[in-house]
Amino acid sequence: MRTGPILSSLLRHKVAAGLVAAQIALTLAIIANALFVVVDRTTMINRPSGVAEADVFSVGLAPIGTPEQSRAILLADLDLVRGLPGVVNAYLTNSMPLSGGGWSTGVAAGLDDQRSPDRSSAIYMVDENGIDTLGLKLVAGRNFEPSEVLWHMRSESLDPDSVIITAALAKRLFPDADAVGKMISISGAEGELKQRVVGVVDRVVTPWVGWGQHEQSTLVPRRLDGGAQLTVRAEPGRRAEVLKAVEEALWKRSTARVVEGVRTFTEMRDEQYRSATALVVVMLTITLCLLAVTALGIVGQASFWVTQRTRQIGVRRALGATRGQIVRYFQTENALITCTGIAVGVVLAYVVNYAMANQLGAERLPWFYLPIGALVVFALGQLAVFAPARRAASVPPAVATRSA
Amino acid sequence: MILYYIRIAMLGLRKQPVLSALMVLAIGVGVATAMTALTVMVRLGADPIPQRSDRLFAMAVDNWDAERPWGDRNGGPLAPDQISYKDAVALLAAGKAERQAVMYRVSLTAQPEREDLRPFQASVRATSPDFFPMFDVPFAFGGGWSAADDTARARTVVLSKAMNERLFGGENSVGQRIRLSDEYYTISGVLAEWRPRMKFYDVTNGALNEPEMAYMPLSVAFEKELLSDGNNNCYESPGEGWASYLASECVWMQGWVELPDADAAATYNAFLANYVAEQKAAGRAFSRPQLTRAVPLREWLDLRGVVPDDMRLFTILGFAFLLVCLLNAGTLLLAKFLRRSGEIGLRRAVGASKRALFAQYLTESAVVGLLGALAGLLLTLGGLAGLRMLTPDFAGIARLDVQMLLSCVAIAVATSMLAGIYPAWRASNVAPAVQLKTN
Repeated sequence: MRTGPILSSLLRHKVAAGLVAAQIALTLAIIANALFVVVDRTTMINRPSGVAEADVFSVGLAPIGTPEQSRAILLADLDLVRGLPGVVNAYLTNSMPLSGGGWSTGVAAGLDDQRSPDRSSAIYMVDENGIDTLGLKLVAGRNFEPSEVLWHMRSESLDPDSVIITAALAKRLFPDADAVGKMISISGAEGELKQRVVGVVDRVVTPWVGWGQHEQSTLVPRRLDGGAQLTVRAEPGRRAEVLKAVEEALWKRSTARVVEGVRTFTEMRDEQYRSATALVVVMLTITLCLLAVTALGIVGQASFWVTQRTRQIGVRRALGATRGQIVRYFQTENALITCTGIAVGVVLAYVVNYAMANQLGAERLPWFYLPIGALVVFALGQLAVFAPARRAASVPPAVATRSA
Repeated sequence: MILYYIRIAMLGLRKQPVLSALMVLAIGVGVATAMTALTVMVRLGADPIPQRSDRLFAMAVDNWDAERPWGDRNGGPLAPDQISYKDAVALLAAGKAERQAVMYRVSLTAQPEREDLRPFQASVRATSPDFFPMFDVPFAFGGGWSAADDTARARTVVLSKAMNERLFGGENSVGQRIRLSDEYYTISGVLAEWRPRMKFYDVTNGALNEPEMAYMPLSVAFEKELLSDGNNNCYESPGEGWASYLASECVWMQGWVELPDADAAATYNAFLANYVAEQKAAGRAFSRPQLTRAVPLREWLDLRGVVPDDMRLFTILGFAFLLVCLLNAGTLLLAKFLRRSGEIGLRRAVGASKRALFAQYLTESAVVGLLGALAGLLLTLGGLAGLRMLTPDFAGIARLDVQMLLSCVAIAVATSMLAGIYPAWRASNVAPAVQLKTN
């Protein structure tokens, strides 16, 4: 098919064709960026946590009284829960992965790098049952001994002799060496390296999702004095029932301390990723609506041209053009408009991305979103123009002989 | 005349019902997307305390690490979002503003006397007494406590409406006692319903959360060595024990001052500059003196980025989408009007002026816009409901008010009229004779 006549016909309808092309351009710019955001956030949401997610839940405990009293309450609670049917294991902690609240500190392997921001780590207090309860994988070294587990008062500085770190943190601190046995500091300030790395776990993520160092965590053999979280692992498939039983048993044992914030790990995870999930839904909705609106514009425009050119189509048919040639005419016309739109849209996509990156610190748009987006709008254009083109092809040659 | 145009417009729309309906729907979807995003943006950014915001200033004190600022925004360094104990009590004691309040959030166990109520954790704001008059906090019963009470470490407490309902069934409980973490406190006041759109006085610890359940004197919280239940940030280890924690540069409190006019603000800032010099002389860091200042409330909320970046992204793309809908409406209106070239030619031939035709077609665009606004309103309500479901934090934010409702109609009509200008101009320029001939 020769594009010459199509081009010259288009040039006589510059504004109408331009409006459609501009729509295509904007559509491409928006969906390329929207899909990028969708993929980015979906990847983030699907990051593994390292935790046995389906079986773990956590209960907030707030004892009242002197440190001695509150320690006794917490240990009695722990004992009670560990003995309940359906409970695989349990431990007391300050914070849970993906719970949204927790502690962080600067970790250093040498005295010069204590303040570099990428050496931050989340701090999780565990006892000898912590790793088993969460379902973490110990990949090197050993677990904590019961004798290492001590009480920690909030106003004291955290200074254990031994720590277990994640593989990600180990790699950050000791890029070329085995971390087990090495000395580090978790005090966040200048000082000696007082903590020995006794083990490395495969993965356990931080309480926060927006953190650059999502997998840098440190386990310390401590129990938190005062308010604490009791983390429990239930037998597979029994979490809902065990959770209820644990809450009831705790209240039944004593009403002298509060049992609150009973949450499954799944609930914590969903809450942490809620805004990311919301953004994915919003972006997908916008993309779908946008594609529908643009397709609609193309259909409307093409239908009008078909009506306007009914006589010319009749003449062409009378002069021997096949139906296929008529369909192809409109398809080629649409392809020309779409390609112009795509050319502009590629530039526009980068402008939108630049504005987003500037204003919001968003990532740069990877190049391959553009051909993908271009393919989508091109297919959309061809699909949208098909029905009007078919209608054009059904114009009988006899129209050429009618009137004027 | 305008009524006549509207009647013709309705006739015109009914002539191509499917095309017209699709146009209305397209404008509706575009307007709804933009309006959903805009409503949340505007309401998040709205003044949370309009009657007093020009008098309220946050205390920004930059006591942070000399080598590395606390944060940065648009390339410039930022002061910490909270202040240290040292600075909070010093600025409170100086009393250089008309009113000042320093505060932080703690968590205490409420132990109800009633047998049928289990103990529960209560979020409590420990604050100096100016908090209530400064922020226009409404009381249902009683009132706050005095500065003398605060100095005397009086065991006194103000309850929120919800807390009073939970413990006393909403009765006037002033003068009664409640037990919090094994200590009795006398109730000095009960708040009326108070739910500022944003907890502007503590944006660090859940800006969209409910206000605390109770309020207690700062001095009592210090005496009981209560740690903050919210964010605590230190750039160096605070050392052992409560005393060294208080002496540290850790930031965990919020500070606010009320300054009636620009002169008072200038005087206060001069006082702060002097304070910075004193602290520096005493050996503290204070290496970015320009960051220690009284920041106007609106500017403070902006600096703290209370509008999430995700919402800005949604708004940018929402308006880009509206632009597509505008182009789309332009395309369809052009096709629609020019399809009626015959009719236009006839009207021109029998004497309709270009201006009259232009006005008529623009009216038709506006009618499409009005119908689009209606569709847009319904879709916006749906969009906001969806957003509330996706992010419960927005429960109080993602709601349409009269102002946004009117903006919705205005945007829809403006969009479709803007889209209709060129098509109407083209239609009004159809030559009378030619069109009559071809038909």
